[in-house]
Amino acid sequence: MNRPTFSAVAEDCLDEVYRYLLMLTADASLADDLTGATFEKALRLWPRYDPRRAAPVTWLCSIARTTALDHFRAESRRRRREERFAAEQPQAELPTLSGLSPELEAAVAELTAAEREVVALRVVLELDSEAAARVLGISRTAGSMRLARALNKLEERMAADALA
Amino acid sequence: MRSPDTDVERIEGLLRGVPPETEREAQIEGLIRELRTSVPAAPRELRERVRGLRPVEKRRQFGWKPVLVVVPVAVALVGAALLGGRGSTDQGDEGGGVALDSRVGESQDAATPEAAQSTDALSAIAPSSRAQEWDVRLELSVRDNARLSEASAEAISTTRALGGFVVSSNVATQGAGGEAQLVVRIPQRRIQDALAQLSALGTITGQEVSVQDRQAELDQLAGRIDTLRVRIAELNVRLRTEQLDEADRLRLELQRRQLQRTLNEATRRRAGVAEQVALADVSLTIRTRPAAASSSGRLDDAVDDAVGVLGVAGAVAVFLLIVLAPLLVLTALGLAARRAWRRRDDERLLDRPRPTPPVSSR
Repeated sequence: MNRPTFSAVAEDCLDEVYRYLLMLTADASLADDLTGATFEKALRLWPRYDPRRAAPVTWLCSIARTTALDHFRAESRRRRREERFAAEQPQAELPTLSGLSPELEAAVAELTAAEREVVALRVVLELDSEAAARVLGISRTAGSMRLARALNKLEERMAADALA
Repeated sequence: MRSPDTDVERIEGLLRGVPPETEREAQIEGLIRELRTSVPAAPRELRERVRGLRPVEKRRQFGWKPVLVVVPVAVALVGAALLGGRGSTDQGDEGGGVALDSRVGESQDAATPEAAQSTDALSAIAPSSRAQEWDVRLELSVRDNARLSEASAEAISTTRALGGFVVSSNVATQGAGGEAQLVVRIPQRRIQDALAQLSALGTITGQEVSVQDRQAELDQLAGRIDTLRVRIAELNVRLRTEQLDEADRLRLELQRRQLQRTLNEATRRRAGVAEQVALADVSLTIRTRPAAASSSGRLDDAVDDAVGVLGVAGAVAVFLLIVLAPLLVLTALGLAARRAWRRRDDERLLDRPRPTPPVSSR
């Protein structure tokens, strides 16, 4: 199998990685930062990438997930330290998932990060169940169940909004 | 009334483009379509930033994998050093004598490290001013019979040039093989020159140098000779000056004759010892190197060495395994626990809508 160049892979997969991180974080600015960090890390790891083991987008999404989780973990530690100070601050305005309808954006925002993540991989990036399970580190069945739960929650929320 | 949740198989079908069968499935299909078309692509600034990424030149870092190569090589080297030390030259020292005996591997050229080492070992025993009896046995190998004849002739001429002489010489060849046996005597003061020159005639395959100190024996003989001479002189004076009856004169003359015989014997012994220490006995054997046997011998030696090194390496490996096994098990358990904890931490982080709610607006 011919090994693609890193620049070609980055060009092809940038949108997918950004969309995945945007759905995972529900924060456009953070997704922007984490996407940049993901590709920097991917560039360092590129010599170890084996095209026979995973498609480029699967490999990049795995790196993006690790990058995002490291960020979440670091932020959690920082927030615990600053908890008292943060409590005195005015409630921050939640960033938006630009592009979606307001109803769908609100419904997506109510999903857990894990549910948004599986929606991003299976629906937005259209990865098959095996590739998505590989990125998430869970079984295909567990991934499919998580996806069904997320989509049902979205549909219920949208239906409730429509009735209201 | 709303229909129940759409099951996993139907969701998978909708993702593959299977038409919806219920109103709720139609809603979900609409959600899927909107999500696929509406989630924005990467901003232009981000794309430019990613395009501008360049690999950072950093010093190559070696991980733990080189250890898998370095450790066995180090173990093998240590084993080889241990075995090499065990096979080095043996030296013995008994009484006043010094004996050196070693056998070295054959090689194609006399100027090999083994030959040089053997020559150095011979040179380490320098003749001293004391009376020493040297007995040297030297075995050399040469490549063919032509060289065997040349080396034999050179050994004889070297002996004569150094002031020595040939006691016996026997050169015999049969087919491709041959052997020359020479016994020569060389002045002890030139023995080092002789060994250096004779060793250069071929490849040293065996050597034995025996040095026996005879100084004490010579000193003892000299003292005894002086004593005997004094006693004989005293008897001569008594026989010449004293008035002795026949019986006493006869007794003194017999005594003088006995002392004279003893003196002659001691003088002969001293002369013999002096001759033995003045000339060193050198027994030189030169053989034609049998090609097949030689290479076979080298192969056997190499196999023996390799098996020995592997044995030492195996022993060290087993020792390390016994010592390190508990640590490895603990490390593996620690890594597994850390991985499980990290997995739970990930799930906990992702089990809420916003893993890290922003402190302030971005």
